Amino acid sequence: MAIQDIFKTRQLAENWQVTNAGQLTAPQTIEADVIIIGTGAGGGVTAEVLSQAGLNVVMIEEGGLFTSDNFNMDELQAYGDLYQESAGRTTKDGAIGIFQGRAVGGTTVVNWTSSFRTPSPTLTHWQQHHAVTGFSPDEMAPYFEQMEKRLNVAKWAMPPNANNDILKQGCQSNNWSWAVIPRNVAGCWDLGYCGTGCPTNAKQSMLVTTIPEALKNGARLYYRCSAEKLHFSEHKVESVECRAIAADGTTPTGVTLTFKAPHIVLAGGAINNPGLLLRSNAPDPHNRIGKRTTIHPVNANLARMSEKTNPFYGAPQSIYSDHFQWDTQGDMGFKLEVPPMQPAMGGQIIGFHGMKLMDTMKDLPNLQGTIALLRDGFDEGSQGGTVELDSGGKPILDYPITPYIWKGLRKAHHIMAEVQFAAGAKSVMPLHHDATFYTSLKDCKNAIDQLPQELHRQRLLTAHLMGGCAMGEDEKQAVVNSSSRFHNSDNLYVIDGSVFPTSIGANPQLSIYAMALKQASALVKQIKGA
Amino acid sequence: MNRRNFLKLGAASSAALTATSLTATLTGCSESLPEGGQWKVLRASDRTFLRAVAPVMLKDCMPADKTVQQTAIDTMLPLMDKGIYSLGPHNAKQLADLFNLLNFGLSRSLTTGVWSKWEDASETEIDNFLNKWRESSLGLFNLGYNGLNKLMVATWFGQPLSWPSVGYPGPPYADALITKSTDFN
Repeated sequence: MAIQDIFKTRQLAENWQVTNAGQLTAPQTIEADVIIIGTGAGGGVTAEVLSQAGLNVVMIEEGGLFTSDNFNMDELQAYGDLYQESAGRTTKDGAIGIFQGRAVGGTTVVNWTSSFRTPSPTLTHWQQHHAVTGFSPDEMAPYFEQMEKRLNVAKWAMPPNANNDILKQGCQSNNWSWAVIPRNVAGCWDLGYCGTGCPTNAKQSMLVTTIPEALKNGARLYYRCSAEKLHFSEHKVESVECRAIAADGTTPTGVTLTFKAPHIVLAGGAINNPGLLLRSNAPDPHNRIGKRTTIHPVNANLARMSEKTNPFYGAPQSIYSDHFQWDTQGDMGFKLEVPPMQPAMGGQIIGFHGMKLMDTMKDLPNLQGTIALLRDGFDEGSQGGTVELDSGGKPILDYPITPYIWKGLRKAHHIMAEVQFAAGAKSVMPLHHDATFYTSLKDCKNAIDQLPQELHRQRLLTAHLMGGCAMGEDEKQAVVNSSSRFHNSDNLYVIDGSVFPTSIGANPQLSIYAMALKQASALVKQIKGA
Repeated sequence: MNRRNFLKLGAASSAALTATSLTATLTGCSESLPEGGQWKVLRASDRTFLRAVAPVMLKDCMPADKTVQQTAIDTMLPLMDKGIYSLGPHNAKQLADLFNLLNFGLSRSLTTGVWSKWEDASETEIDNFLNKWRESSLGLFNLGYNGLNKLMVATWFGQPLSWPSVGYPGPPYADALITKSTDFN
C-alpha cells in the first residue's frame, strides 16, 4: 500500500487509547482533567495544547473514525460516512444545503484546505461592536503564525487547476484583485479529493496532526459517542451524558457513557454546540444561545468553457478574490472562490432533471463553477440565523434570507458572470430554478435581474457554520466571554467556530485554529495556576 | 423557460400537501416498515415510487435499456435508504410526509396530476409531475422537487456506471490509493 495509515502504524507503537463507544455493551463512567466534546478544528487544537501541558484529556466524537485507508475518493461513501446527516443537512425551511463534517477530525477531514488568517477588519469589528477583548490583529498574529507553522500552511506553489485559473483570468481581465490561496498540506498530490477525505494524508487535518499528538500524550478518544446532555448544578457542569452510536452512524446502541471532569470544553461546532446547550437547559437568562449563527451563504454560476477544465481534478481551491469583500458601498461583501466538481456534487447542484440535466452534465469536463461566499453578520440587514431544537431534540438552524442578502446574492451572480465571460466562457448559467445558459454577458445580466428572489428556486449552500455561542464581554449579548468561558458557568468553555460573533469573511479553519490555540493556552495557565 | 406557462397547482393541492400525513394515518394508508429488515426507511410503496420516477428524473442520464436501469436502481435504493435514515428528525419527517403524500391515492392525484398508480404511470405523466412541481409557484412543491432531485441525481452520478456518460474518468491513481478498509468505523 502506497500510503501508511497513521492510525494503524502509530496506534500500537504509541499505545493510543481509542474506544469505539458503539461496541461497548455496558455503561461506563470516565473521569479526566478536561473533557473535550468534538474533535474538529477547535477540539483538535485544544486537545493537543492541553495534553502537551500534561493534563489528562478525554476527546469525545459522535462521528466515526475513518482514516486514509478508508478514503477512496468515492463521493457517496464520503458523504455518508463523513458529513452531518449524510451531507443532507439543510436549514429549517430546507432552502440552504449545509455541508458540515462529522467524524474524528470534524470538518477538517473534508474541507478544501483554504487557510486564511481572520481578516483584520473582522477582528476590529468584533472589538468595536461585540465587546470582544484580546483579539486585535496584533494580539492574534503570533497565534496565526504558530498554527500556520504547525499545519504547514503555505500559498499553493503549483499552478492552479483550470477551474481556479478561470477565476484568476476573469479577475485579471476586469482589473480586479485576486491572490493565491494558502493551504494546509504537506506533500500534496494535487488530486482534488479534499472533500472526500485525503487519501494521502497530505492534508494537515486534525485527524493526522493534533489528534495523534494528543493520543501520543496519553489523551483518550471515544468515538461514536454522542453528547446528549450536560448536567448542571449551580454554576458548574457536573457531568456529560453521552449515547453510544452503532456502526450505521445513527442508531443509539442503548449504552450510556458518563464523563466527569473539573473542566468541560464544547467543540462540536456551530449548530451542535447550541443544540447541546439547549437540550441541557443551560442557564441562558438573556436568551442568547443559538443566536447570531452565520453561514457565509453561497451562490454559484456555472460556465461552459471551450477548453477542458476537468473541474474534478487538482487542488480544489487555489485562487480567490476579495475585490468585492470590504469596499462594498453598503452592499453585502463577498469572497469569490471556486468549488471542485466531482459528478455527484456537480449533478445535484444543477437542479434540472432528464434531458436538461444531461445536457449540462455531459459537458462536465468543460464546466467551470464560481462561488460567492457572502459575509453575513456584519450589517443590521444580516444578523444571522437561530439554532433551535426540533421534535427529536436535534438542533436545526432557522436562517432567514433578508432583503439585504437577496441584494448581495444578485450582485454576486452579476460579478461571477462578468468573471466567467471575461475568462472566455461560451455561456453562463446562474444556479437558479429560472435560469438557463446564456451566451452573452448582456443576456445573462438581464436574466439575473429578472430571477425571482424566492427560496427553493434560488440555489443556496453553506459549508461554513459559525456563531451561535457568540463571544463578548457583555452577558446580555454573548454566550461566552473573550476567554471562551460560558458566561453562566464556572467550568464550561466553548472553543470552536461557534464563538465567532460574526462570520469571518474567509474560509474559517485557520481562524478556529488560532483562536483555539489562544484560548486553550490561557486555559492551561488557569488550570495550572488554580 | 417560463414557469408561468405550466399548470399552476391550486389551493386544493396545497391543502392536500399539509393534510396528507394526517389523512393517510387516519385511513390506515400509512404503511409501516417491518422491523429488523433490510430497509431502514424506504417502504415497499416508497421503493415502487422511486423505481417509477428515477428513470424519468434521470432520463438521458441513465442507459435507455430498462433492465440496465432497474439493475442500477437496485444498487441505488439501499444507498438512498441509508442517506435518508441518517437525516436528522426534522428532514427525515419532511421526507416521510412527502412519501406519504405521494403514495396516498387522493393526495397523489391532486398534487401530482398522476391518476394511475406509480408503477402504471406513463413516462409523460411522471415528467409532467416533475415539471409541475419544479415550476409551481408554491415553494413547498419546489422544495419537494429539489429533495427528490438531489436524492436521485447525487446517487446516480455517484455510481461508476454513470461516469463515462459525463466524461469523468474516475479517481486518479486508483491502483495505489483505493484501499478497502473498515477497520475502525
